[in-house]
Amino acid sequence: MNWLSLSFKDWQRRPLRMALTTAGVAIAVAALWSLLAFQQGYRDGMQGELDRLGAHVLVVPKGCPYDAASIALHGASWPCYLQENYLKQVRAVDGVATAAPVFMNALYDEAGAQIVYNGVEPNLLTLKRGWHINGEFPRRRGEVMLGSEVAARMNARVGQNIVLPSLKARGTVCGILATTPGADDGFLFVPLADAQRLFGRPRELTHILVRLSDPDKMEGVVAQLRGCDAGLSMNVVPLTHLFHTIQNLVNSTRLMLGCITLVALLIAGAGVSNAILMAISERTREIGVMRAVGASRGDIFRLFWLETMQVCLLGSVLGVALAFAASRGVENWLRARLPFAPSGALIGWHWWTVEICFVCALILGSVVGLLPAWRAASLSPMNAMRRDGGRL
Amino acid sequence: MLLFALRNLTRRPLRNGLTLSGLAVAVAVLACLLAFGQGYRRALSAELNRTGVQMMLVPLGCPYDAAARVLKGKTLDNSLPESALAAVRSDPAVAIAAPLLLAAVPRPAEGRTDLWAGLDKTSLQLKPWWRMKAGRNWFASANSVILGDEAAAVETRVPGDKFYSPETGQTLRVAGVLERSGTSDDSLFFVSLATAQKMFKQPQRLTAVAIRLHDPAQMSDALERLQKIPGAQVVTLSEMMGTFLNLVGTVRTLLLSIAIVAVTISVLGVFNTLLTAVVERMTELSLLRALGASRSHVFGLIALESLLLVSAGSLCGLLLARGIGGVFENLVKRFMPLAPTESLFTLTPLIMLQCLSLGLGIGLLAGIFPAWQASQMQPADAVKLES
Repeated sequence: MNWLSLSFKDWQRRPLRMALTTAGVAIAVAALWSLLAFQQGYRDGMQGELDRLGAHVLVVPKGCPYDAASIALHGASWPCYLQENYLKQVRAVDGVATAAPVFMNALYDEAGAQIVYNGVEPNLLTLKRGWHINGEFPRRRGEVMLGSEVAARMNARVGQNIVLPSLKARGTVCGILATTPGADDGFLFVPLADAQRLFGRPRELTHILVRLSDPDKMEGVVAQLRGCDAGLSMNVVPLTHLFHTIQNLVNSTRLMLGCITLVALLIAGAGVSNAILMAISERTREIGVMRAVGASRGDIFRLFWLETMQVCLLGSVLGVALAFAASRGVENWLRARLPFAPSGALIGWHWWTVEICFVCALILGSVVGLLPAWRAASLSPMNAMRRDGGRL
Repeated sequence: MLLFALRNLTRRPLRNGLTLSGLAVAVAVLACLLAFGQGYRRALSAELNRTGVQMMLVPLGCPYDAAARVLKGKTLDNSLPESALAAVRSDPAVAIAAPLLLAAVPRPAEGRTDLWAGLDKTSLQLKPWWRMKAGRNWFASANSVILGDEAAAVETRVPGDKFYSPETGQTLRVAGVLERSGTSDDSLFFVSLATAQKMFKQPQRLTAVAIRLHDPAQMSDALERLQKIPGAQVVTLSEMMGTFLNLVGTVRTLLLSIAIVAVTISVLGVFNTLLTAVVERMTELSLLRALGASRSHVFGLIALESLLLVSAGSLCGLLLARGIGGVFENLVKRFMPLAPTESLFTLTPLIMLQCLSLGLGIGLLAGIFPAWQASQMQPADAVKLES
């Protein structure tokens, strides 16, 4: 019988206690894993979402630019509007390669589902390079292009004449957008003039997507945009700046969440230490016998230290598995609570998240294992073998 | 019985100590979070209500960020043209419109940044706490300065003293020192608006305009009219407070959920400790039964031990929360977008009661199974186990 199988013995003796202790470690590790994976997923999701927008600068009406960016990404009704003549001024600025106007409006159908209409011009295609359209982009009056989800829900085909949902108008489906990773799947695209007419807002826009000829010259272009005549009535939002601000906000919460997770890990560690101490006090006589038949202090130390590590390692394996299984639920729970949630996956794990969890568990195990193992090793064989088992 | 239970617990000081400290830490974190959330809400609404300001005209950019900076006495990157003030004042619904110009003067030699505020007389109506500790109530001349209480203490100035500001090259005379108000005003240097515009070379510019309406019911109409002022936008403070509370609420939910995880883990520890205590003392417990203790006596004994353990843990946790509350607050304040200046940490009796009852509840839950197991001991087991 080697030391490893000997250290497994306690599982047979006290299955309930060992299981509970391991569960404690597992819960703490699961919290840690979810936290790490969430940070990574949020960051990736945000970056991906801004990349897919295809623009470097967003021009929005007055109001909080973060709200505005969130609306532009996920689709909703806008509280204020831009005048269409601002577009000319934006296009006149040096360094602006494309300025794509959008008129967005959201309606709700009888089932409460959100229907987002986007009035767009063909130059949007130069921004959305990842798009694959089955059919054509809407250019003529009465044409409509559907996002893949909308098309599936309405069971529509290219060339079909459909009733536009929640509107008293009809349109011809000119194209269907292939599935994209973003929110575009749930949008309907119509020509800009059509959208302005349908929603009774002639010559108004909700936002302008601006792509620069050279993204490195961002500062200068933004200053020019803010300085032009229309600059006083609109907000110019550089998207990299937006990304950094949101990331900062998330980072500050990460520190606090990390602190509390650490506390949870420490509490779990104290539990492990305690459980091993209990095992030692129960097995005092056994330790005495082992010492008497020739086991050294180092052997005893190793035995109990191994036992602690086992509990921590098993706990972290179970914890990661638990977090993995629960990630869907956690994701939905988080999405309902976060103000700026990207539409992609929120929980994005990498191998290093798993590695960090294991490393944390190993460090924890080796630290909390020291005290019990040292106490067991320092028992004198004579005392340990006595009837009352030499009180610990 | 109580004494007996207590003695049983003290027989294993290390084990019960570890269990207890785990529970205490978890309860402390929970109490801190609860106390903090309540304190933040209260302090924020107090700070916003006291000003009597319903709206704020700020430059373009994120209005929430801008209003938060103005309330905390930080400068903005953008500024408003002075013509916006006239436009606001000409609106029929506006009772008071107080202009404000903020400027930050970094003083790396002293390791701090001084904040200067340019005001005009209308601001007095929006600052009911504007009371002088010493000196005159208002600027006597163009080069008068009024100091906040903390600012005066740092600069060791009293009314009548000269005050030279090397960064702007201005020599000013201290006209008065404000009473401590508990707001960000305490650390500000006040000068008249015109002086500030000259000192900081911002002619005809403003940082913000605070607005009070004749009648709060006219809010939405006034909002629509004021929103049209070029180069400016309006935020209502109630809207702003809602946004911040939302944001803070999100963070708080996340933190609370992890705190609950910590409590769950510590409960597992309590359960383990009690279970072992029962197993270890089988002989003793069956001996008790043989001596005439009923099943319910034994059950009660173990349940009592569990209750004692968790209530001691919860109490220690609350004490710990009191102790680390200040540190926690400093940590949190650094990350808050709009942290009110007064204390955020209010450990109310209600919160203490909540934490205690949570602790006792889970203690009972964790104690039931071990206690039941103990009560199943037969008197005859005493003899069997002995042999």
